[in-house]
This record gives sequence, C-alpha cells and structure tokens, in this order.
Amino acid sequence: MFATARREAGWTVEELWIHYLALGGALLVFDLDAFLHGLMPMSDGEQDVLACALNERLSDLANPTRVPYL
Amino acid sequence: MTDLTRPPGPSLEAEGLAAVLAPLGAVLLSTETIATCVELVTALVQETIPGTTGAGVTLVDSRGRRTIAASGELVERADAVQYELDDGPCLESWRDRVPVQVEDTLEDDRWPQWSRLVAEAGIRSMLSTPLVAGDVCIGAIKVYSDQPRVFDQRAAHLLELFARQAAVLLANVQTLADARRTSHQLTEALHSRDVIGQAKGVLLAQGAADDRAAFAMLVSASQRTNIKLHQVAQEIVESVTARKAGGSTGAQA
Repeated sequence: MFATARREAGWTVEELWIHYLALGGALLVFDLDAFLHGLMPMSDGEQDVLACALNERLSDLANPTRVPYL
Repeated sequence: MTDLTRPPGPSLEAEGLAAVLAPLGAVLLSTETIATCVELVTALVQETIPGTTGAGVTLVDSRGRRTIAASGELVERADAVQYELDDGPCLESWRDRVPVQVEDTLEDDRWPQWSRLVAEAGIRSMLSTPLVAGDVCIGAIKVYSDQPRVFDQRAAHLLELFARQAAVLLANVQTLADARRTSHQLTEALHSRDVIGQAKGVLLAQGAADDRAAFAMLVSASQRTNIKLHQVAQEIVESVTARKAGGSTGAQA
C-alpha cells in the first residue's frame, strides 16, 4: 500500500524520505526503503507520519488515493 | 598559419582538443547551471568538428528528465523528429552506446522515416556519439551537416574524444546540481520538522497523551481545515508565542 502510494506520488524513495523527515519521521532512508520492500517493520507512529507525507502529496496532485492512518 | 614541422593531422587534433579542454575545465570552477553547460558543450562541439553545420546535445538525468540544447532550429527539428518517432540514429547511439554515422540521408535506409524528414529539412549527414561517464550513459552528442559524406574517420574520432571529456563535465555538473537541490530540500525539511516538534511540545503541555497522540491531533486539524500539517503546526507555535509576547508586554506595563 505504501509502495503503491509512493509510485502514484511520483517520488523516489529519497524524495519520500525527505518529506517524511520534514514531518518528524525518525527512520533513516535505508530503513524506510527496507520497510517499503516489506523487509522491516515500522512503528504505528512512524507509519502515520509516512502516511501523512504521502497523503499531502497525493492531495496536491489531485489523486484520490489515500493511505489510511492507524 | 601552417606549421610545416609537424604533420597536419595530429597537430590540428591537438590544437582542437586543447581549445576544447580549456573552456570545459573552466566551467567546473564556476557555478554554471546544467542548461548553460549543455549549451556551452553544443557551441564547442560545433567549432571542434570540421564541416559541422549544426550540433546538438541531449542530457538525461537519473529521473529521466531531458535537457536539450541545439545550435539552431534545424538541429532542434531533427532531434524532435526522433523523439516523435521514438527512433533514429541518436537514440540508437544512446541506447546501444555506440557511435552512429549517417553518410547521406538520401541513401541511408536504416531509419527511413527519420531520414526522409531530416533530408527534407536540409540535413544530409550526421554523426552521433553517446555521452558515457563512468559506466552510465548520460546522453548523446551529435553533429549535422547540410552536405553528404562530410564526417570522416578523423571527425568520428575527434567527436569521441570530445564526448569523453564533455561527459565527465556534464556528469559533474549534474551531481553538483543534485547535491545543491538535496541540500536545499534538507534545510527546508529540517525547518518544518523543527516547527512540528515545537507544536507537538505545545500539545503535550496542553494534555496530549504522547508524541503520537500529538501528531494525530495535528493530522486531524490539518484534514479538517485542509491546511498543510506544517502550516497548522506553525500557527499553533505562533499563537503561543504571540500570547507570551502579549503577556510579557502586559507585565512590563
């Protein structure tokens, strides 16, 4: 779901990471990449920050896709 | 001016390359943008390869964005035709990483549609070579002539030498531009992150259970008002600092 949203957002993992960082996200870009590939878990709080970064971008693009908050 | 003590070929080549390398080197020291750099390389290659009527450079970055420079409308058109057809000598040169030469557009039948269209526009011969930096192909460089069979082996060799230097330069400028953009984005991100951190602190002081709950409150406020989350955070921080400023002025009075 996050990986799909990232593609729809048209962001590279690095771009997504910078926006996630801006919203207070604490994980390194490497760990974020691992999470997006399903290789690492992520806490609910961090997932909400990530969801917010993607949702704001999708909203800017007038894309109706949203990642639900936990 | 003829130098009889040296054979004309290598001497000309050395002079040509020296003239090319000097300005290419100088660019690294200044803060040129990618666009001006591509334009410079285009202008230089036209002067370097004898018989060139027009030249063009296409640069593609890691995100697939193209920067294109052409010495004139004719070259611009010839390039555009390739992208429209998604076929042609420069695209092949770039994809297969090999130099491609068209001796006469009226006779060459490898890209019939492209040949016909550019021949009508007045282009008779062309030479294209990939721009390879390290093991990445970052684009292609090409020269055109309005006469057939203008570019010989020496011209092909010279263009390859030129392309090798130009690729290093363009790759460096690309890296520099990437680094500048990232540093700018990081500065903005850290500022936003700082404001959001402060706003979460305010919410915690006002009774939010924990960091996650404070963030959730910011998310709901942002969704309700349709204002970006960092903007919501900014307003919370400003309202608190304004209140304190008001309070301290009151105390002083």
